[in-house]
Amino acid sequence: MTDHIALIIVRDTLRALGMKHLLSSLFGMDASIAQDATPIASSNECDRFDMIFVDEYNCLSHLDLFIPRKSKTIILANTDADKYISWQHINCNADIDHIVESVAAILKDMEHNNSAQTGLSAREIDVLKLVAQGLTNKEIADNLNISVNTVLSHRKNISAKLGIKSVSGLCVYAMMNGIIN
Amino acid sequence: MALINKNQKLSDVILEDPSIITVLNRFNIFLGVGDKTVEQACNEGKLNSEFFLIILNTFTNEEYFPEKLLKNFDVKLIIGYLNNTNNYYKQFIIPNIESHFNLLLKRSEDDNTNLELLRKFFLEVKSELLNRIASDTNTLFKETLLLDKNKGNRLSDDDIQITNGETTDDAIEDKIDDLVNMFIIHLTGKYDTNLCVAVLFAIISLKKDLCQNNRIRNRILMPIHHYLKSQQAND
Repeated sequence: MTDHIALIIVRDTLRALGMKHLLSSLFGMDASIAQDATPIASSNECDRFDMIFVDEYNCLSHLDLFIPRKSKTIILANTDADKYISWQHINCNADIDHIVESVAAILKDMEHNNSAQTGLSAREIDVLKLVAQGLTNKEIADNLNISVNTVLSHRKNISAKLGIKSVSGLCVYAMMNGIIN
Repeated sequence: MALINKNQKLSDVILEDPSIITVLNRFNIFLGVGDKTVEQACNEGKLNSEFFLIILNTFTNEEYFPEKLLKNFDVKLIIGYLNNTNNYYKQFIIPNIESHFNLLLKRSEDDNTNLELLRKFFLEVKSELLNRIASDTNTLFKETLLLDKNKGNRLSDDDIQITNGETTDDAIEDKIDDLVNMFIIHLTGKYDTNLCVAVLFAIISLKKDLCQNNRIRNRILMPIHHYLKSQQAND
Protein backbone atom coordinates (compact mmCIF):
# COMPACT_ATOMS: atom_id res chain seq x y z
CA MET A 1 0.00 0.00 0.00
CA THR A 2 1.39 3.44 -0.89
CA ASP A 3 1.18 6.46 1.42
CA HIS A 4 -0.39 8.63 -1.31
CA ILE A 5 -3.85 10.14 -1.03
CA ALA A 6 -5.55 11.12 -4.27
CA LEU A 7 -8.31 13.48 -5.28
CA ILE A 8 -10.32 12.74 -8.41
CA ILE A 9 -12.08 15.75 -9.94
CA VAL A 10 -14.16 14.43 -12.79
CA ARG A 11 -17.62 15.44 -14.03
CA ASP A 12 -18.41 11.93 -15.24
CA THR A 13 -19.38 9.88 -12.13
CA LEU A 14 -18.72 6.48 -13.70
CA ARG A 15 -15.26 7.54 -14.84
CA ALA A 16 -14.51 8.88 -11.35
CA LEU A 17 -15.67 5.62 -9.71
CA GLY A 18 -13.60 3.60 -12.19
CA MET A 19 -10.48 5.63 -11.41
CA LYS A 20 -11.10 5.38 -7.66
CA HIS A 21 -11.49 1.60 -7.92
CA LEU A 22 -8.32 1.26 -10.03
CA LEU A 23 -6.26 3.32 -7.57
CA SER A 24 -7.60 1.44 -4.60
CA SER A 25 -7.45 -2.12 -5.93
CA LEU A 26 -4.16 -1.99 -7.84
CA PHE A 27 -2.19 0.69 -5.99
CA GLY A 28 -3.73 0.63 -2.50
CA MET A 29 -4.46 4.35 -2.67
CA ASP A 30 -7.31 6.12 -0.92
CA ALA A 31 -9.09 8.58 -3.16
CA SER A 32 -11.81 11.20 -2.72
CA ILE A 33 -14.11 12.26 -5.52
CA ALA A 34 -15.38 15.69 -6.56
CA GLN A 35 -17.35 16.59 -9.65
CA ASP A 36 -16.48 20.25 -9.81
CA ALA A 37 -13.18 22.07 -9.03
CA THR A 38 -14.93 25.39 -8.31
CA PRO A 39 -15.50 24.94 -4.54
CA ILE A 40 -12.04 23.40 -4.20
CA ALA A 41 -10.41 26.36 -5.94
CA SER A 42 -11.55 28.72 -3.22
CA SER A 43 -10.08 26.65 -0.37
CA ASN A 44 -6.82 24.88 0.40
CA GLU A 45 -8.55 21.53 0.00
CA CYS A 46 -6.20 20.42 -2.81
CA ASP A 47 -3.15 20.71 -0.60
CA ARG A 48 -4.28 17.74 1.50
CA PHE A 49 -3.75 15.45 -1.46
CA ASP A 50 -0.58 14.03 -2.97
CA MET A 51 -2.09 13.48 -6.42
CA ILE A 52 -4.95 15.15 -8.25
CA PHE A 53 -6.60 13.36 -11.16
CA VAL A 54 -8.63 15.89 -13.09
CA ASP A 55 -10.62 15.80 -16.33
CA GLU A 56 -9.84 18.20 -19.17
CA TYR A 57 -12.88 20.40 -18.56
CA ASN A 58 -12.13 21.03 -14.88
CA CYS A 59 -8.43 21.50 -15.55
CA LEU A 60 -8.93 24.05 -18.31
CA SER A 61 -11.60 25.88 -16.30
CA HIS A 62 -9.29 26.23 -13.29
CA LEU A 63 -5.78 26.58 -14.66
CA ASP A 64 -4.95 29.01 -11.84
CA LEU A 65 -5.59 26.16 -9.41
CA PHE A 66 -3.70 23.45 -11.30
CA ILE A 67 -0.67 25.25 -12.77
CA PRO A 68 0.90 25.86 -9.34
CA ARG A 69 0.16 22.20 -8.53
CA LYS A 70 1.34 20.86 -11.85
CA SER A 71 3.77 18.40 -10.29
CA LYS A 72 0.95 16.48 -8.66
CA THR A 73 -1.77 16.98 -11.26
CA ILE A 74 -2.62 14.20 -13.72
CA ILE A 75 -5.02 15.04 -16.54
CA LEU A 76 -7.52 12.34 -17.46
CA ALA A 77 -7.60 13.02 -21.19
CA ASN A 78 -9.82 11.66 -23.92
CA THR A 79 -6.89 11.24 -26.29
CA ASP A 80 -3.12 10.94 -26.11
CA ALA A 81 -2.95 14.42 -27.55
CA ASP A 82 0.28 16.40 -27.83
CA LYS A 83 -1.35 19.38 -26.17
CA TYR A 84 -0.78 17.74 -22.74
CA ILE A 85 2.85 16.96 -23.46
CA SER A 86 4.10 19.12 -20.58
CA TRP A 87 1.54 17.70 -18.13
CA GLN A 88 1.31 14.23 -16.65
CA HIS A 89 -1.70 12.66 -18.34
CA ILE A 90 -3.53 9.41 -18.87
CA ASN A 91 -5.46 8.58 -22.00
CA CYS A 92 -8.81 7.31 -20.66
CA ASN A 93 -9.66 5.66 -23.96
CA ALA A 94 -6.56 3.46 -23.95
CA ASP A 95 -6.82 -0.23 -23.01
CA ILE A 96 -6.72 -1.21 -19.32
CA ASP A 97 -3.09 -2.44 -19.40
CA HIS A 98 -1.94 0.84 -20.88
CA ILE A 99 -3.84 2.86 -18.24
CA VAL A 100 -2.42 0.78 -15.38
CA GLU A 101 1.09 1.15 -16.80
CA SER A 102 0.62 4.91 -17.08
CA VAL A 103 -0.55 5.25 -13.46
CA ALA A 104 2.32 3.05 -12.24
CA ALA A 105 4.85 5.12 -14.23
CA ILE A 106 3.47 8.41 -12.86
CA LEU A 107 3.59 7.09 -9.27
CA LYS A 108 7.14 5.86 -9.75
CA ASP A 109 8.20 9.22 -11.20
CA MET A 110 6.63 11.12 -8.31
CA GLU A 111 8.37 8.98 -5.71
CA HIS A 112 11.65 9.18 -7.60
CA ASN A 113 11.39 12.97 -7.96
CA ASN A 114 10.65 13.41 -4.28
CA SER A 115 13.53 11.31 -3.07
CA ALA A 116 15.94 12.44 -5.80
CA GLN A 117 15.34 16.09 -5.01
CA THR A 118 15.58 15.73 -1.28
CA GLY A 119 17.26 12.48 -0.39
CA LEU A 120 14.46 12.20 2.14
CA SER A 121 12.48 9.04 2.80
CA ALA A 122 8.71 9.02 2.24
CA ARG A 123 8.17 9.22 6.03
CA GLU A 124 10.58 12.14 6.35
CA ILE A 125 8.66 13.93 3.61
CA ASP A 126 5.42 13.31 5.58
CA VAL A 127 7.04 14.83 8.68
CA LEU A 128 8.50 17.74 6.72
CA LYS A 129 5.08 18.49 5.24
CA LEU A 130 3.53 18.73 8.71
CA VAL A 131 6.45 20.72 10.17
CA ALA A 132 6.09 23.18 7.30
CA GLN A 133 2.38 23.47 8.02
CA GLY A 134 3.28 24.66 11.51
CA LEU A 135 2.27 21.58 13.53
CA THR A 136 3.99 20.89 16.85
CA ASN A 137 5.95 17.68 17.42
CA LYS A 138 3.06 16.30 19.48
CA GLU A 139 0.55 17.10 16.73
CA ILE A 140 2.79 15.51 14.10
CA ALA A 141 3.15 12.40 16.26
CA ASP A 142 -0.64 12.14 16.68
CA ASN A 143 -1.23 12.79 13.00
CA LEU A 144 1.17 10.08 11.84
CA ASN A 145 0.54 7.67 14.73
CA ILE A 146 4.16 7.67 15.80
CA SER A 147 5.89 8.71 19.04
CA VAL A 148 7.22 12.21 19.69
CA ASN A 149 10.72 10.72 19.92
CA THR A 150 10.34 9.29 16.42
CA VAL A 151 9.22 12.71 15.17
CA LEU A 152 12.30 14.27 16.78
CA SER A 153 14.51 11.68 15.17
CA HIS A 154 12.95 12.32 11.73
CA ARG A 155 13.38 16.07 12.20
CA LYS A 156 17.03 15.62 13.11
CA ASN A 157 17.59 13.54 9.96
CA ILE A 158 15.73 16.03 7.78
CA SER A 159 17.86 18.93 9.05
CA ALA A 160 21.05 16.94 8.60
CA LYS A 161 20.16 15.90 5.05
CA LEU A 162 18.95 19.32 3.89
CA GLY A 163 21.29 21.56 5.88
CA ILE A 164 18.23 23.48 7.09
CA LYS A 165 17.48 23.87 10.80
CA SER A 166 14.77 26.49 11.25
CA VAL A 167 11.05 25.83 10.79
CA SER A 168 10.79 28.84 8.44
CA GLY A 169 13.67 27.47 6.39
CA LEU A 170 12.05 24.03 6.19
CA CYS A 171 8.80 25.66 5.16
CA VAL A 172 10.52 27.60 2.34
CA TYR A 173 12.31 24.42 1.24
CA ALA A 174 9.02 22.50 1.18
CA MET A 175 7.43 25.21 -0.97
CA MET A 176 10.44 25.36 -3.30
CA ASN A 177 10.11 21.65 -3.92
CA GLY A 178 6.34 21.44 -4.24
CA ILE A 179 6.00 19.43 -1.01
CA ILE A 180 3.52 22.05 0.18
CA ASN A 181 1.95 24.90 -1.73
CA MET B 1 46.68 33.98 10.66
CA ALA B 2 49.16 35.98 12.75
CA LEU B 3 47.70 38.55 15.14
CA ILE B 4 47.70 42.16 13.98
CA ASN B 5 50.06 44.39 15.95
CA LYS B 6 50.22 48.15 16.44
CA ASN B 7 53.33 48.61 14.31
CA GLN B 8 51.81 46.99 11.25
CA LYS B 9 50.76 49.17 8.33
CA LEU B 10 47.01 49.50 8.09
CA SER B 11 47.21 48.91 4.32
CA ASP B 12 48.91 45.53 4.93
CA VAL B 13 46.19 44.62 7.42
CA ILE B 14 43.55 45.34 4.78
CA LEU B 15 45.42 43.45 2.06
CA GLU B 16 45.64 40.43 4.35
CA ASP B 17 41.86 40.36 4.94
CA PRO B 18 39.87 42.91 2.92
CA SER B 19 36.67 42.18 4.84
CA ILE B 20 38.23 44.09 7.74
CA ILE B 21 37.46 47.36 5.88
CA THR B 22 33.90 47.17 7.21
CA VAL B 23 35.24 47.01 10.79
CA LEU B 24 37.60 49.94 10.20
CA ASN B 25 34.62 51.98 8.99
CA ARG B 26 33.01 51.49 12.41
CA PHE B 27 36.01 53.33 13.88
CA ASN B 28 35.72 56.10 11.28
CA ILE B 29 38.68 54.84 9.29
CA PHE B 30 37.99 54.72 5.56
CA LEU B 31 39.86 53.68 2.41
CA GLY B 32 42.86 55.77 1.46
CA VAL B 33 44.76 54.84 4.63
CA GLY B 34 48.17 55.82 3.20
CA ASP B 35 51.15 54.23 4.91
CA LYS B 36 49.98 54.81 8.47
CA THR B 37 50.58 52.14 11.05
CA VAL B 38 47.78 50.88 13.28
CA GLU B 39 49.12 52.95 16.16
CA GLN B 40 49.36 56.13 14.08
CA ALA B 41 45.79 55.68 12.84
CA CYS B 42 44.61 55.23 16.42
CA ASN B 43 46.42 58.34 17.61
CA GLU B 44 45.02 60.33 14.73
CA GLY B 45 41.46 59.16 15.37
CA LYS B 46 41.83 59.33 19.17
CA LEU B 47 41.05 55.64 19.43
CA ASN B 48 41.94 53.28 22.24
CA SER B 49 44.60 51.28 20.36
CA GLU B 50 44.41 48.29 22.70
CA PHE B 51 40.65 47.96 22.23
CA PHE B 52 40.98 48.60 18.49
CA LEU B 53 43.57 45.84 18.08
CA ILE B 54 41.52 43.34 20.08
CA ILE B 55 38.45 44.05 17.95
CA LEU B 56 40.42 43.65 14.70
CA ASN B 57 42.03 40.42 15.88
CA THR B 58 38.72 39.07 17.18
CA PHE B 59 37.19 39.75 13.79
CA THR B 60 39.93 38.14 11.73
CA ASN B 61 40.68 35.16 13.99
CA GLU B 62 37.85 32.92 15.07
CA GLU B 63 40.08 31.24 17.64
CA TYR B 64 41.11 34.53 19.24
CA PHE B 65 38.81 35.84 21.91
CA PRO B 66 40.48 37.44 24.98
CA GLU B 67 37.41 37.44 27.20
CA LYS B 68 39.12 38.76 30.34
CA LEU B 69 40.83 41.61 28.53
CA LEU B 70 37.62 42.67 26.81
CA LYS B 71 35.64 42.66 30.06
CA ASN B 72 38.13 45.10 31.55
CA PHE B 73 37.40 47.81 28.98
CA ASP B 74 35.05 50.67 29.75
CA VAL B 75 31.49 49.49 29.05
CA LYS B 76 30.90 52.67 27.01
CA LEU B 77 33.64 51.59 24.61
CA ILE B 78 32.11 48.15 24.14
CA ILE B 79 28.59 49.50 23.66
CA GLY B 80 29.88 52.17 21.28
CA TYR B 81 31.41 49.50 19.09
CA LEU B 82 28.32 47.26 19.21
CA ASN B 83 26.16 50.24 18.38
CA ASN B 84 28.32 51.13 15.37
CA THR B 85 28.15 47.51 14.24
CA ASN B 86 24.35 47.49 14.47
CA ASN B 87 24.27 50.73 12.47
CA TYR B 88 26.47 49.11 9.86
CA TYR B 89 23.98 46.24 9.55
CA LYS B 90 21.04 48.63 9.37
CA GLN B 91 22.49 51.20 7.01
CA PHE B 92 24.74 49.17 4.75
CA ILE B 93 24.71 45.42 4.77
CA ILE B 94 20.94 44.76 5.02
CA PRO B 95 20.00 47.36 2.35
CA ASN B 96 22.85 46.00 0.20
CA ILE B 97 21.49 42.45 0.34
CA GLU B 98 17.96 43.67 -0.24
CA SER B 99 18.78 45.80 -3.28
CA HIS B 100 20.82 42.99 -4.85
CA PHE B 101 17.98 40.57 -4.12
CA ASN B 102 15.45 42.87 -5.81
CA LEU B 103 17.68 43.23 -8.84
CA LEU B 104 18.24 39.49 -8.95
CA LEU B 105 14.48 38.90 -9.06
CA LYS B 106 14.04 41.54 -11.71
CA ARG B 107 16.68 40.03 -13.96
CA SER B 108 15.72 36.37 -13.49
CA GLU B 109 13.13 34.31 -15.31
CA ASP B 110 9.56 35.09 -14.29
CA ASP B 111 8.79 31.47 -13.50
CA ASN B 112 11.65 31.09 -11.01
CA THR B 113 9.46 31.24 -7.91
CA ASN B 114 12.29 29.87 -5.77
CA LEU B 115 14.04 33.22 -5.73
CA GLU B 116 10.90 34.99 -4.57
CA LEU B 117 10.53 32.45 -1.75
CA LEU B 118 14.16 33.02 -0.75
CA ARG B 119 13.65 36.77 -0.80
CA LYS B 120 10.64 36.45 1.49
CA PHE B 121 12.69 34.29 3.82
CA PHE B 122 15.41 36.95 3.82
CA LEU B 123 12.81 39.62 4.65
CA GLU B 124 11.75 37.53 7.66
CA VAL B 125 15.39 37.32 8.82
CA LYS B 126 15.80 41.06 8.21
CA SER B 127 12.77 41.89 10.30
CA GLU B 128 13.99 39.72 13.21
CA LEU B 129 17.46 41.22 13.03
CA LEU B 130 16.11 44.79 12.99
CA ASN B 131 13.90 43.97 15.99
CA ARG B 132 16.90 42.67 17.87
CA ILE B 133 18.89 45.77 17.00
CA ALA B 134 16.04 47.99 18.18
CA SER B 135 15.79 46.04 21.40
CA ASP B 136 19.58 46.33 21.93
CA THR B 137 19.52 50.07 21.32
CA ASN B 138 16.45 50.86 23.37
CA THR B 139 16.84 48.40 26.18
CA LEU B 140 20.08 46.48 26.57
CA PHE B 141 22.58 49.24 25.73
CA LYS B 142 20.59 51.98 27.40
CA GLU B 143 20.08 50.07 30.60
CA THR B 144 23.66 48.79 30.82
CA LEU B 145 24.97 52.34 30.46
CA LEU B 146 22.55 53.49 33.15
CA LEU B 147 23.57 50.69 35.50
CA ASP B 148 27.24 51.45 34.88
CA LYS B 149 26.76 55.15 35.49
CA ASN B 150 24.86 54.54 38.71
CA LYS B 151 27.14 51.92 40.21
CA GLY B 152 26.50 52.17 43.94
CA ASN B 153 23.23 54.08 43.51
CA ARG B 154 19.93 52.25 43.77
CA LEU B 155 17.88 52.44 40.53
CA SER B 156 14.11 52.06 40.42
CA ASP B 157 12.55 48.95 38.85
CA ASP B 158 11.21 51.17 36.06
CA ASP B 159 14.77 51.86 34.97
CA ILE B 160 15.62 48.18 34.72
CA GLN B 161 13.37 46.24 32.38
CA ILE B 162 15.92 44.26 30.50
CA THR B 163 14.67 41.21 28.71
CA ASN B 164 16.85 38.24 27.97
CA GLY B 165 18.68 39.56 24.92
CA GLU B 166 20.06 36.13 24.03
CA THR B 167 16.75 34.56 23.09
CA THR B 168 16.54 35.21 19.36
CA ASP B 169 20.21 35.12 18.39
CA ASP B 170 20.34 31.44 17.58
CA ALA B 171 17.14 31.66 15.59
CA ILE B 172 18.51 34.52 13.49
CA GLU B 173 21.85 32.80 12.96
CA ASP B 174 20.15 29.50 12.16
CA LYS B 175 17.97 31.21 9.59
CA ILE B 176 20.94 32.93 7.96
CA ASP B 177 22.71 29.55 7.81
CA ASP B 178 19.58 28.06 6.23
CA LEU B 179 19.41 30.86 3.69
CA VAL B 180 23.04 30.32 2.69
CA ASN B 181 22.48 26.55 2.40
CA MET B 182 19.39 27.05 0.29
CA PHE B 183 21.40 29.06 -2.21
CA ILE B 184 24.32 26.67 -2.20
CA ILE B 185 22.53 23.33 -2.04
CA HIS B 186 18.94 23.72 -3.17
CA LEU B 187 18.66 26.56 -5.69
CA THR B 188 17.09 25.54 -9.00
CA GLY B 189 15.84 27.31 -12.12
CA LYS B 190 17.38 30.04 -14.23
CA TYR B 191 18.81 33.16 -12.63
CA ASP B 192 21.38 35.91 -13.16
CA THR B 193 24.58 34.23 -11.99
CA ASN B 194 26.52 37.39 -11.10
CA LEU B 195 23.70 38.88 -9.05
CA CYS B 196 23.04 35.57 -7.35
CA VAL B 197 26.69 35.33 -6.28
CA ALA B 198 26.56 38.97 -5.11
CA VAL B 199 23.53 38.23 -2.92
CA LEU B 200 25.13 35.08 -1.55
CA PHE B 201 28.45 36.83 -0.75
CA ALA B 202 26.61 39.64 1.02
CA ILE B 203 24.64 37.15 3.13
CA ILE B 204 27.78 35.19 3.98
CA SER B 205 29.48 38.43 4.98
CA LEU B 206 26.56 39.29 7.28
CA LYS B 207 26.68 35.77 8.74
CA LYS B 208 30.39 36.06 9.57
CA ASP B 209 30.02 39.56 10.99
CA LEU B 210 27.03 38.64 13.11
CA CYS B 211 28.80 35.60 14.48
CA GLN B 212 31.83 37.68 15.57
CA ASN B 213 29.61 40.44 16.90
CA ASN B 214 27.49 38.02 18.94
CA ARG B 215 30.62 36.81 20.71
CA ILE B 216 31.18 40.32 22.03
CA ARG B 217 27.50 40.95 22.73
CA ASN B 218 26.74 37.63 24.42
CA ARG B 219 30.03 36.77 26.11
CA ILE B 220 31.19 40.24 27.11
CA LEU B 221 28.32 42.70 27.30
CA MET B 222 25.63 40.35 28.65
CA PRO B 223 27.77 39.12 31.59
CA ILE B 224 28.73 42.74 32.36
CA HIS B 225 25.07 43.65 32.28
CA HIS B 226 24.09 40.74 34.53
CA TYR B 227 26.88 41.61 36.92
CA LEU B 228 25.85 45.27 37.14
CA LYS B 229 22.26 44.23 37.61
CA SER B 230 23.13 41.79 40.39
CA GLN B 231 25.10 44.57 42.08
CA GLN B 232 21.95 46.70 41.99
CA ALA B 233 19.97 43.90 43.57
CA ASN B 234 22.55 43.57 46.36
CA ASP B 235 22.64 47.29 47.13
